[in-house]
Amino acid sequence: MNGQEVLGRYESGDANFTKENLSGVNLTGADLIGVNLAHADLHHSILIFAYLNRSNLTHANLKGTKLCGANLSQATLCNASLRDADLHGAILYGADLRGADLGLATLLDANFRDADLRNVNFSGADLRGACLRGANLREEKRAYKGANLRGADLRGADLRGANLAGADLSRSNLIGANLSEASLRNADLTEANLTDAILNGTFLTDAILTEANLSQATLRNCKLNRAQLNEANLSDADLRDATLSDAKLHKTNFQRANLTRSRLNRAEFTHANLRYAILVDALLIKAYLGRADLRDANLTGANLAGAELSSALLNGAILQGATLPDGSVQT
Amino acid sequence: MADHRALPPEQTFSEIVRRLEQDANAARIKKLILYACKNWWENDPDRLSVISLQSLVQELRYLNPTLEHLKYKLHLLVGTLSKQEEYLQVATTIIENLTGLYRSATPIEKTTINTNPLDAIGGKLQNQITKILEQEVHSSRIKKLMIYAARKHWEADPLKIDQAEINRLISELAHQYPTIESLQIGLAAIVKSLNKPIEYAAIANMILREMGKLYSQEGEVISPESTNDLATQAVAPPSSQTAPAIELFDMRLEIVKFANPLRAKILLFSLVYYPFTYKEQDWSNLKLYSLEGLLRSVTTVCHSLEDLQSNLEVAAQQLNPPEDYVEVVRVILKSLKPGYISLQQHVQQALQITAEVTRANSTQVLISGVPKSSSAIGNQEL
Repeated sequence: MNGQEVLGRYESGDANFTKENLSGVNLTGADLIGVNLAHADLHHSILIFAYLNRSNLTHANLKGTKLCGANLSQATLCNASLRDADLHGAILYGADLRGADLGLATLLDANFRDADLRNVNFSGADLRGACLRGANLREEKRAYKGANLRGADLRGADLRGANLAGADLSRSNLIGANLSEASLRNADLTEANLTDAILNGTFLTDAILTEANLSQATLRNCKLNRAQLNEANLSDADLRDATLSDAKLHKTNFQRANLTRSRLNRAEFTHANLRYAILVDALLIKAYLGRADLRDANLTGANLAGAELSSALLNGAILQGATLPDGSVQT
Repeated sequence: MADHRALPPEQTFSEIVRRLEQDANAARIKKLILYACKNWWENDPDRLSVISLQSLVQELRYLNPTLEHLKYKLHLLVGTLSKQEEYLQVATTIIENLTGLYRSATPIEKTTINTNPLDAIGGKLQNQITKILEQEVHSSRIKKLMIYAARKHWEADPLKIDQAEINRLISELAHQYPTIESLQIGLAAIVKSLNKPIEYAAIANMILREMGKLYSQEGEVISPESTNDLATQAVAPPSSQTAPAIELFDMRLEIVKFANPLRAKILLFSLVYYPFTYKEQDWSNLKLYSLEGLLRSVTTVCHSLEDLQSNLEVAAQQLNPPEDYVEVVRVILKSLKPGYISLQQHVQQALQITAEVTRANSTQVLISGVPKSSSAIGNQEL
């Protein structure tokens, strides 16, 4: 079937193309709003700027399909295969993509606002500048796996308010991305690059950030309780008012980071680098700072009650007004 | 050699160009002249169509001071081509038509809109331009780009950059680029080859803006104080506590909420670079830039919102079909309006910082649009 035949049928009122073979068809700019393409084979077809709003593409084969600028808002793409598809600047607002395969797809500047992306495979996808604001990518025990974003390129992506709880973002590139108010509870961000990322008020409780790069990131009021940040790089990061209680911070680099008013109670800082860090009014109650490097750090007014500081390096550190491990206040 | 008959004295420069354009071999004529002027062979008809034959002919005339120079140059180039016989005929046509320019008593510069920049070299105007460029915060980048354009090598040694004199570089550029169009094309080609095209596009615009005074017929001297468009505009209130980077996320969100993100990109791309023609190469080039990067770079091209509006409208009219882009213009303007000036200032500051610190793996990677895979445009390491 060619493009003209598809359009002819659609215009005559027949919008049902279930299981049809439409591979390689050219439907550039076609108006196919609400079309039923469930289980259809559309691989390598051209649907640039096509109107596919509210269409049904459940289980459709869209491998390598060109969907640049296509409008797929509120379409159903459950379990569709979009591997290697080109969705550059496509609109997927409110679309249902549960279980879809978008591995290696081009999703540059695509709009996934409020889309349902549970159990979606985005591994290796190009999501630079994509808008995933308010999208649902969370893991649900016994129902959906978290979205797979392993190695995805999310530079400059807008993930504000997205639900990424339990998602796999290991080795992803999130340079300059905005994750403010997003939920990343239990998410895996091992070796992710979050340089210059914005994570204001982000929920990273129990997240795995081992060897992640968060240098110069903004993490104000970020929730990192019990997060694993071993060997992560947080140099020059802004962590004012952040909560890192019970966090694992072995060999973590906090050089020059601003941790003013942060809550670091019971956090494990073994061998952590806190040189020149600003810890003014920080709460470090019962924190373990064994062999931590606190040289030239500013701990003015910090609370170190019950903290383990005996083997820490404190040359040049400012402790004025700080509550020391024995409960006394440094004058 | 063909008969080089003298052209009637009344034949004007534009008539010569018109004749060349109407020639059966018009495309080949343009290709060969482009090759002679830029040492660059272009086969893409779309790219050829956007290049002005008039400026090319003008440049060819300047580059070849005598008819003998012109003949020698063209024949030399024809010798390197695969279709020598065809292009020998094309060279003959060019020589025949341009003979009039060499014999005409009227100097070419008086018949065209531009003047020879060399006339202004060594004068007060050059000193003023030097002063303005030296005072720019990005003077180091300005020098780097000028050195590359004038001496064809990328200077990375900070000491040498510091020692390079802008005054001298202006003279060198004026010698090498006889028309403002040629300088524009030359700088554009360089900017495209760099790995920070957006940042250097702004620098190139700065150079063009200042150097343009040397080429302008009126030779209008603009005082350094009045050249800063931003300073003379009714400046919006200082930005709020919100960081401009965050504002940009909001602007972008407003655009993708109410317009097709791809159409917004095509429109902005056409404004900043060249009219998008939906060719394979255009799609590849577009993928090098993010919507965010294009929004940033548009602030370096359009100095005010009014400027932005008129440029967007022009760009929309050049696209196919224009009506698909009219609404996009409105959405972009509405989204950028509240924070345009503050975004512009932020981009300028970022340019200043990156001039000082070249940092790998920063957001600039996104702005300069280096793709995750291979790039269609060669990226030269800065």
